[in-house]
Amino acid sequence: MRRLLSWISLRHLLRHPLRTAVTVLGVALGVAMYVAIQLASRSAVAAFNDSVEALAGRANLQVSGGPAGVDETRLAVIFQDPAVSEVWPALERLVALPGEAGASLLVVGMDFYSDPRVAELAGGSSRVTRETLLEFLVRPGCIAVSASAAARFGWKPGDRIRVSTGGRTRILTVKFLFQGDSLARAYGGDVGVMDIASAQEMLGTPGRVDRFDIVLRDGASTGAAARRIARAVPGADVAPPAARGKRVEAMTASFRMNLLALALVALFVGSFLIFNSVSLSVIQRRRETGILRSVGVSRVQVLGMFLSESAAYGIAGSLAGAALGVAVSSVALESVGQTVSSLYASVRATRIVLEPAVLAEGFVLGVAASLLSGLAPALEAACVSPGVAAREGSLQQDRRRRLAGVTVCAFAAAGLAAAAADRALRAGSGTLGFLSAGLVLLAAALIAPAVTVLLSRILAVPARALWGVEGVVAARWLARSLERTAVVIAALASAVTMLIALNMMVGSFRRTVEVWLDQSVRADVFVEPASRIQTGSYSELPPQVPGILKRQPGVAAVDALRWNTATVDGRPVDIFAFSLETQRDHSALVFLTGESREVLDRAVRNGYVLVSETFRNRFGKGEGDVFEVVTPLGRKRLTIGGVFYDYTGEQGLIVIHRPLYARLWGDSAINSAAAYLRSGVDPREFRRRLQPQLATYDLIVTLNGELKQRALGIFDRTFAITNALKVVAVAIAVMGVLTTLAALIIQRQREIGVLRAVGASRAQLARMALIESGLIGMFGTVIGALCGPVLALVLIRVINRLFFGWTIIPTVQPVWFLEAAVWVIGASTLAGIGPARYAARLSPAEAVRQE
Amino acid sequence: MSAVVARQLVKHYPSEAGPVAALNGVDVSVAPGEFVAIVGPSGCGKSTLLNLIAGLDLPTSGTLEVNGVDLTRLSDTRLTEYRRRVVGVVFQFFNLLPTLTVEENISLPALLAGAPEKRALEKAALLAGRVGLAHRLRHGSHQLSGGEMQRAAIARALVNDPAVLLADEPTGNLDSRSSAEVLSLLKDLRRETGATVLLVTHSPEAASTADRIIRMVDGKVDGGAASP
Repeated sequence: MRRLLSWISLRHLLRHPLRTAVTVLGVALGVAMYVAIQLASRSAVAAFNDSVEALAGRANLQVSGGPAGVDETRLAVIFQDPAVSEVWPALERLVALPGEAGASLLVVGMDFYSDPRVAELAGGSSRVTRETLLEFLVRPGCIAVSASAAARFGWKPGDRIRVSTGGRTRILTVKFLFQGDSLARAYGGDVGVMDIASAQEMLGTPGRVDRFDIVLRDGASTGAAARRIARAVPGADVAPPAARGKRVEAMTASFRMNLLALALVALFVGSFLIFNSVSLSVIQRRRETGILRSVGVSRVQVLGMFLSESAAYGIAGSLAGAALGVAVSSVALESVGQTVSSLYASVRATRIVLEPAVLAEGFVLGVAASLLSGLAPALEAACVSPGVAAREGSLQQDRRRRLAGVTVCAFAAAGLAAAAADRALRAGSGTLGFLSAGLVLLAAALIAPAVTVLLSRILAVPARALWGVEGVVAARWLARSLERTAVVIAALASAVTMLIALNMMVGSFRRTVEVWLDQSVRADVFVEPASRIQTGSYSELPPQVPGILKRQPGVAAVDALRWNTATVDGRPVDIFAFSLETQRDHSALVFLTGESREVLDRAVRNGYVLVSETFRNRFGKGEGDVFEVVTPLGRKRLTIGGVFYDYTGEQGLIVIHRPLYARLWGDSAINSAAAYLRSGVDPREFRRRLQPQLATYDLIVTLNGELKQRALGIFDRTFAITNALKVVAVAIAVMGVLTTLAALIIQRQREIGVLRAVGASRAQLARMALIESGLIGMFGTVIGALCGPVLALVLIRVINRLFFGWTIIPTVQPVWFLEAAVWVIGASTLAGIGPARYAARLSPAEAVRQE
Repeated sequence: MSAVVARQLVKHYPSEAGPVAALNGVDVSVAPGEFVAIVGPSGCGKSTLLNLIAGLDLPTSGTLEVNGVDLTRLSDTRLTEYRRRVVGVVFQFFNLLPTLTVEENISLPALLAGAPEKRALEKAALLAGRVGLAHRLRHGSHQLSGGEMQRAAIARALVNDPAVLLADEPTGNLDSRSSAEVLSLLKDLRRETGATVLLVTHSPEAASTADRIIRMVDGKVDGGAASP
């Protein structure tokens, strides 16, 4: 019996191939987005972990000095620790490959004399003789490259390759190629190895290494050894290699979580399609259900019959979605990888790691969402009384009661959303933040029926004026078919709510960043190593550069920036060291409280540091508070002189007057220089005159406007994937318009026949259908325009604050709404073309003959 | 000139078992202003004939002229124009649009034909008064009784002043009182407007109101015309 009933349902699905296909596609797109994002972000993290693992080799503890590195003489100190069996120094730097657009190579400096890993590398290549290895020690500029990098860039042993780092171009000679599953895997395979001394010379960091790789004695406690070594090498980060991966995982967690939440919105919109299709099927088969009930089919069996339909949509859609997700994940990986590299840690993620668990999650989510969204209509079907065909009157009454119920639920959802947002901020709970956002979306969906009724009443008059009798018929059709159109309008409403909210959030964020850049980035010219652009990572600037800048005519002031990282309360933070005096006299920082000049002046006089808003949010320390940081010269207590707005990163930033930094860290290297020009000096002309003087270096000179453009470019790339996701959500909703309209046209065949009989032309009928689909789009847009800003506020004030800690000034631009309206109304109208053509083609005689 | 002339009219419908003949060579001629009833058993082709005359369908072969125009040669646009200007149709199941008011339903053909709204509504009000529905103009069609619905449908059929009024079982869904009212309305309106009326019916009483009765059997006219 159960099988029979399932067959009835499945046959029904086959009888409506368009609806079935579109519904399955809707679920598939939702699942695909989930799978693609999840695979891409996990693969990006996996690529980083893989690289860390490949670089670490057998080491079970690493001592890293951050961007400034560690003094190489510490090796002896570390080796004295009783737990240490072996220890090797390593340098690691991304260098740019000037001939290869956008490409960079990870150069690893290793001790060719003693590091056993070198012998392992050479062992894989039969041509490497002892003499070759010795050459690395005595001749600078020798490099071994991975076979995959050699294949990618067309290198062979003996080739001379050009690399750019530290503001200079160097020629290196490829001595041999290596492969294998260890070091050759690092940085996606784009890796080369040099002798450490040669690398230090090339990178301009004599006497400093990035890392010590340590192998502990068997049975030694990693934790205890780490604690002892941390005391012996102050300021360095001592942790097992896996911890680096964990840290990047933690750093990117918010970013990945937010992408995933966005992907889930696509699935949410997709589940409306299921709800819609099962509802349509319940309405169309009311009579059949009544007959089945009268011949002895139980309520539970009816429920099962309709749920099996949802399950069929869910299973087919989830399977297709998982496959589609895998297919598009590599596109997502490119975007995610870029963002992770520019915001968190350099990673070259080229390969999707197919995790079966992700596919299973996507499948389960898709099927669960389908069953859940099909449950309400299936329950309704189960309530159909045996044999009794519903009367129009009772349906009308039913409809009014349900409309009221759904509207009350909408307001309840809105109220709960507000409560959840409040609680989320108080408790610092991200989950509650997402719950609040989800409830706003739900409220947008639930308010759809009431808004549809209201708007179709209000619109009756303008519809007549605008589109004549076709407009009147279309508006009335829409209001009368509420139980069908409301669902698709709800789906559109939630998609448009998300669209407008994201436009507003990203737009407000961008505008805030623009204003902030204008206020705090005021130098006219910036000089950095050319490799910065290509590798995205910092390298040292030749120390002579600020002097050259100062000597140029027309320069009012020159400053230099040092970037470093440090650990505060066990968590990494960024450090920018530059002259606060120059900043005070020529530029500004925007402080939460206090005027820039005064705060900077006080900081210079009292030796205070300044921290970013994100730092304050993360560590709970603000103006006047003291915190401790470990530098290579020991523990230092720093006093916070002010909290400034900052949008460079989310992990927290400390700004220190550079003379103070040099004293506390014993580090005088710099990463970039900036010049403030006297008024009236043309920056372009200045750059033209400056460039010949810097010809011996490989530097890039950026003007103020260009730097801001670059920053906004990174910003836009970060949100590129967001744009793709919102487009998919709207597309799914528009597909709902198509199926709903097609179903409505079939239901209205008789009316269409009558219209033809009393003189409606094909064009008039098509216009009616198109006006109706356009109105559906418009209603969705109106709700979206009302709820979108509310969701935007939740995103800006709750989710952003909890996950990233930035202050975003909400702004509203009419163009965001206009854009949404044009796209959504346009797309819905287009979706109506197929059904409209079908309506126009219906034979009037056949249509009126139907009973 | 005849109002309606059909010669050797054939209509086949496709089916899985091959084409099914609904009309099998019908010859009919109706004079202008004549009131003709078409009767016959179910499936004899009378509604098919009416649909062809209404321009809702095209014959498989033969010719069909209404008001001197050969319908078989008309493009879809011309056929739409023909339905607007030349014929008015009344159905058994009234077929008012449930979403529109009585006034809107009656004025619909005029509005679809491009008449100015004011004139269409005035005409609708006039006709509603004529069929006894002046007080129901603003009501939804679902609020009307069967007889009222059919009277509204007749008013709708007449709003563009058609030369030919076609009624397919207009009393088939009505009680005897409403039936009588509708039939007498049709008769009166024929007299007032001078329109040709073709009435398809099962009911002998309805047929008896016509000037002439055409009997159909198996897709053909049975033995020529007969007087009521």
